[in-house]
Amino acid sequence: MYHEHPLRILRYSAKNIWLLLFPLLRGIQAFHFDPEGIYAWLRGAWFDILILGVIIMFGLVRWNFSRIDITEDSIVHREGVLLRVRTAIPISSISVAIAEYPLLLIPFRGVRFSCDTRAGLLKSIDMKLLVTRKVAAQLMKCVPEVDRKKKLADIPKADIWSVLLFSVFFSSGFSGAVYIAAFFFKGGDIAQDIITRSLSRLTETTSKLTFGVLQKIPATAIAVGIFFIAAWLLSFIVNLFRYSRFHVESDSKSLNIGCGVINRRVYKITSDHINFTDLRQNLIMKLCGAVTVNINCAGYGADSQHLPVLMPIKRERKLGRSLEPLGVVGGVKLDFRPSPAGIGSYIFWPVAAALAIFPLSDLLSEFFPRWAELSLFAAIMLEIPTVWLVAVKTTATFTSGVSIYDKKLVIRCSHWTAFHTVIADKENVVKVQIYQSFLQKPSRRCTLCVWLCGETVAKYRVRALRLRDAAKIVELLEHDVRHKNEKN
Amino acid sequence: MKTYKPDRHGLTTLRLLIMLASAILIGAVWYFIPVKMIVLIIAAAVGTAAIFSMFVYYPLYFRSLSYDSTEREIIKHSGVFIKSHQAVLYSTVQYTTVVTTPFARHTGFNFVIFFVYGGQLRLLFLRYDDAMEILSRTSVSRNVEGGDRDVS
Repeated sequence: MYHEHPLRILRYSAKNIWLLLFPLLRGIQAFHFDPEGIYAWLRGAWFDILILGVIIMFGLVRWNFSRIDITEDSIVHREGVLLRVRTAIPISSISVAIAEYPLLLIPFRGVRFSCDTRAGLLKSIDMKLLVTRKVAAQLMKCVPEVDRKKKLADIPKADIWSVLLFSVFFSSGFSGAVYIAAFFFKGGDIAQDIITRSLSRLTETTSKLTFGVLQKIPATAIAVGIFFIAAWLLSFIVNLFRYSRFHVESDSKSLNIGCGVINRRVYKITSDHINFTDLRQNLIMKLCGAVTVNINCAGYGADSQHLPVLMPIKRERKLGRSLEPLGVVGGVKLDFRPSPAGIGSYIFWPVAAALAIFPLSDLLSEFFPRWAELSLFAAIMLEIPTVWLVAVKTTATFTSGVSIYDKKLVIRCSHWTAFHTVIADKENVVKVQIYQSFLQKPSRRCTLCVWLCGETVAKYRVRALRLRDAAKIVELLEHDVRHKNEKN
Repeated sequence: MKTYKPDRHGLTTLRLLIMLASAILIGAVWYFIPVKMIVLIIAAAVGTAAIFSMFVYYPLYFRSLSYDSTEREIIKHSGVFIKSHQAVLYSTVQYTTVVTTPFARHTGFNFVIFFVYGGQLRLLFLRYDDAMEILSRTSVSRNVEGGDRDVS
C-alpha cells in the first residue's frame, strides 16, 4: 500500500491555496525582521493562521485516506473521508500510462502519474495521482514494458530539425494567446500587473509607430498584429520545450514515448489499444512530402496541450515499412478518388467567403466610416486564410480518396486546413454514411462519411465520390448501408 | 437472473439529508434577508420542494429502480416520469468505481459505477452486500472488495 506524494496535502487542503503564494511573496518582500513586529503580526493574524491550520489539517487527513494499492492485475486507488471512493483499474484495460516529471517537482522527487482506459465518453484521464519517484516507478512497472530483445530496430529517429519544424507548423497565435490568458487568470494580481503593463507599453509603442512610420495602418491593427506574433512565438517556444528530446521505442505489443525538456513526459502505450493512425499535413508539408504521424489512443494527447504524436515530422517516403507493425503504411495508392468535376463541393464555401469579404468590409465602412481603416485591415487579414483554404481544398480534390486492402482502410481527406491520411483496421469502422445533396444527385456523386472508434467522435469525410464507388467501399467494409438504387 | 432492489435505508438517509439541507437553507435566508415576506415565500418554496422530493419523487424513484443481473450482463431499470432501461455486458467493463459512506450497511449509500466503452452505468442505492455481489461478477471485483475491507 502506498500513499500519494505529501505535496498532495496542499492540493487537498484547498483547490487554490497556491494563490496565497502571491500575498505571501509580497509580505516577504515588505517584511523587516523585528521581534516586536512578529508579535504584533501574530496578535492580528492568529485567527487567519488558525483557519489555515485547519485547512491544512483537513488536507492531511484527506491525504492519509488516499491510498494506492498495486495488486497482481489492478491498480486500486481509494480516497475520501466521508464519501469513500475506490477505483480499480485492471492493468489489461490500461491503454496509456503517463509519468510526468515537472521541473518544479524535481526537488521534491514528485511525479504526476496518470493512466487512461478506453472507457468514458470524453477525453478525460481515468486516474490521476501525484506520487513519489519510487511509487511512480512501481506503477509504471505494472504496465507491460517494451521487450529490449524484440524491439523494432528501424523506427525513424526524431532529430532536432524534425522537432523544430513540428514546433513551427503546429504553433499558433491563438494557443499563445490562451497561455497568456491562463497566466492572466491564474497568476493572481502580480501576473495581471505584468500583463497590463506590457500591453500598455505595447499600445504606446504602436501609437508611436503609427504616428511616425506606418501612418496608414491603424494603431489597434498593429497592436493586434504584434500581440499575435508575440503569442505565436510563445506558443513556438512552449512547443519546442514540449517535444524536444522526443524518443520512441516499440515492440509489437507496447510503445514507449518520451518527450519534453522542462516537463518530461514518459508514455507507455498498449499497441492493441491504438484505434487508428493519422498522418497529418498542412499545405506546405504536403508540397514537401512531409508528414506528422499521429496515433489515436485513449489517453494519449487527451489533454488539450499535447498532440498525440508518434513521429514529429518525417518525409512520407522515408517512413518506409518501419512503422508497419504499428499500423502506419506509407505510399498507398488510392482505389477510389473523387471526381474532378465535383471540385465545387470542395471549394464552394471557401470561394464564396473569399469573394464576400471585401464587399462586406465596404458595406461596414459605409455604415461606420470611423472604423473604415480597421475594417479594411480585418478584411485583408481574413482574406489571407480564406484564399489559403481555397488552395487547400483545391489540392484536396485531387489528393483525397479511399483505399481498402486486406484488413486495412485508408482514407485521405482534408479537414479545414489540414490533410489527413487515416489508416485503420476495418473492424474499427463503427459507422458509414453516404449522403447526396440535390446538387450532387444529377451527376451521381455523393459524400462518404466514416466514423472510427475512439474516445471522441472521429469522423472523416470524402466528398464528390462517385455513388457506385461509395457503394463499393461500403460493401468492402461489410456494412449494410447501401443506397436504395444500388440495392435494387 | 437475479433482481436487486435498492436499499430502503437509502431513502431514509436521503430524506434526512434533504431535511438538513432545507433547514440550513431556510436558516440562512432567515439570517441574511431582513424582509419577512421574502423569507416566508422562500421558506414555503423550499419546504414544498423538500416535501415533494421526500414523500413523492424519491419514493416513486426507489420503487422504479431495480437491477437485473444475468451471467453476461446487468440491466438497470429506472425513471419516474420517463422509464429507462440500460444494459451493459460485464465483458465491456473497463474499470469500476465504488462509492460508499461510513456505516454503509445502515445508510444505503452504496454506489457502483461501471465504466464501459463510450460511457458509464451507475448502480445507485444498493445494499452493501448486493453491491459486492454485483462487483464479484466483473474481473476487477477482488481488488475493490479487498480494498474496502482494508479501509472499513
